[in-house]
Amino acid sequence: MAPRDDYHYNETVLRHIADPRNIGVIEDADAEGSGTNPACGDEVTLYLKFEGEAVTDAKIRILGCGAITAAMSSLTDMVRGKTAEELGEITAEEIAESVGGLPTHKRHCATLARRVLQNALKSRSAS
Amino acid sequence: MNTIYMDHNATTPMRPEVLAAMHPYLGEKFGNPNSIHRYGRETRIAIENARDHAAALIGAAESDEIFFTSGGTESDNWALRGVISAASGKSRIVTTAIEHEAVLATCQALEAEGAEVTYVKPDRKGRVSAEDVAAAIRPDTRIVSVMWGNNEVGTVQPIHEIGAICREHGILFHTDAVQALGKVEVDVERAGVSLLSATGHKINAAKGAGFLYVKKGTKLDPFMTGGGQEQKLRSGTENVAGIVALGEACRIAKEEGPQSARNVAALRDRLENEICEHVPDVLINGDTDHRLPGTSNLGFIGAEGETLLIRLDLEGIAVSTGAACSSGSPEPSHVLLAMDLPQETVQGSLRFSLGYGNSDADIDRLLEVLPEAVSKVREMAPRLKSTKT
Ligand SMILES: Cc1ncc(COP(=O)(O)O)c(C=O)c1O
Repeated sequence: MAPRDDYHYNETVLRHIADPRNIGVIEDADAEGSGTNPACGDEVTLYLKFEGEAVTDAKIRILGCGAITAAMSSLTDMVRGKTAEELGEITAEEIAESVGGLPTHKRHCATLARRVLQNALKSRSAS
Repeated sequence: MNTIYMDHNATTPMRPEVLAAMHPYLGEKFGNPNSIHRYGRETRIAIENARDHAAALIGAAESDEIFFTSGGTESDNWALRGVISAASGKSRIVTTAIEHEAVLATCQALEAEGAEVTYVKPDRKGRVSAEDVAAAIRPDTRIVSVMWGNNEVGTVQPIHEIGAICREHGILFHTDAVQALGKVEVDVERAGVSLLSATGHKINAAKGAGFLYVKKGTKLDPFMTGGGQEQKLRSGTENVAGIVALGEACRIAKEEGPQSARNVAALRDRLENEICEHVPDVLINGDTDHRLPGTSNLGFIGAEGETLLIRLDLEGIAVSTGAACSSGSPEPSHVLLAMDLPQETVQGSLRFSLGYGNSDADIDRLLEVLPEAVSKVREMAPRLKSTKT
């Protein structure tokens, strides 16, 4: 069911925007992925550190709107302890749900977050 | 939390005098102004008083040139559709690329019905030139529609020059004065305006009541048909309380407008100067020589407007942005795009709009919060691609 207010951000999203988690760079990252949203100019980079098969650290850099900030911030928590294979299965819907849902006109930000994650995974298998 | 409202171009708080004036019309004075009995007479008088105040504020020759509507959107729709539908033959409209959606979407709808529309582009400060408007006029141009003051960047358009051009060509001239009314001197006779849109909620009155000024002799079809209210041109039982509020706000604006415009402009200039002093890489979007007194649209390069907005909101300060999809549309502000601003300026833009109730203390508080918010948001930005090895 669509939320009653499909226009504003919920409290979880607002908390992420006020204090995004894991902002920064991992200098010796095992995987790095970027993505942009050309319509608005949003730019995101995700850094992942693996130990064995599992992610032990994730950091992000963001120049973007509230929704992409919240989605990426939440994603850095979601990826911890997961294997590359498990990461590959994370959907945009799951990312949006992890912040309690995004307004319909902001759902593409969850899609961008997923694409950035996929790009990071590709960079790891390439290296 | 102490909250500070700096979004007066979106809507304004009602002034206590206005609220007091409208209050009886939500209670004991509930009569239908079209009723013959005393209940009706009482509300009819209230509406006609409001009409006088509105007419006086805009310098209309006659009060019956004021037609009450539900607000700016309806007035814009009615002006354009009413003129085009009353005209025979092929019709052309000249407007600008920076109009409010109420005008733009209406023009697009009229295009779909066969009208031809020219959208004159502004300069990089958001101002259109009267020459460009004149050059767009063709023999079958029925109406020119140019807003008086822009809602996003506050640029005031050369209305008097455009009015003179329209008069010369014998073409109707509509202006959306929703943002300008009460802030700059609006005189329809001097400006050569044939139709003017206004709304109450931008001048400290209530939402849902506005007016369209229609100069005597203007050929205009009705927009709402029905019981024949408003000289048979805009049917529907009048929003009495909203209209009374609008009238009272017009009365106050006529009396206090010039002084409050000066005060608000001084506050706005202080806000702008001090932000530019304390925050690096800030650009002013708009025309500082021709601008509504309370509006400041600033581009914070390397930051993103919506995250800044929310950080300010969480500190209790309400502002607005022209950034992409923050208004539910996937595209960045059509106004900033039409001004050909670089994407990073558009992306990092915030609109501060000041008005009734703002004080120096509000600016002090903003300056406590904003510089840190901007640097936090900037620090989060990705490194330039070239720095990656
Ligand atoms: C320039 C302009 N025109 C029209 C409108 C619409 O007015 P209303 O909200 O009364 O329909 C607005 C308000 O958003 C505006 O700023």
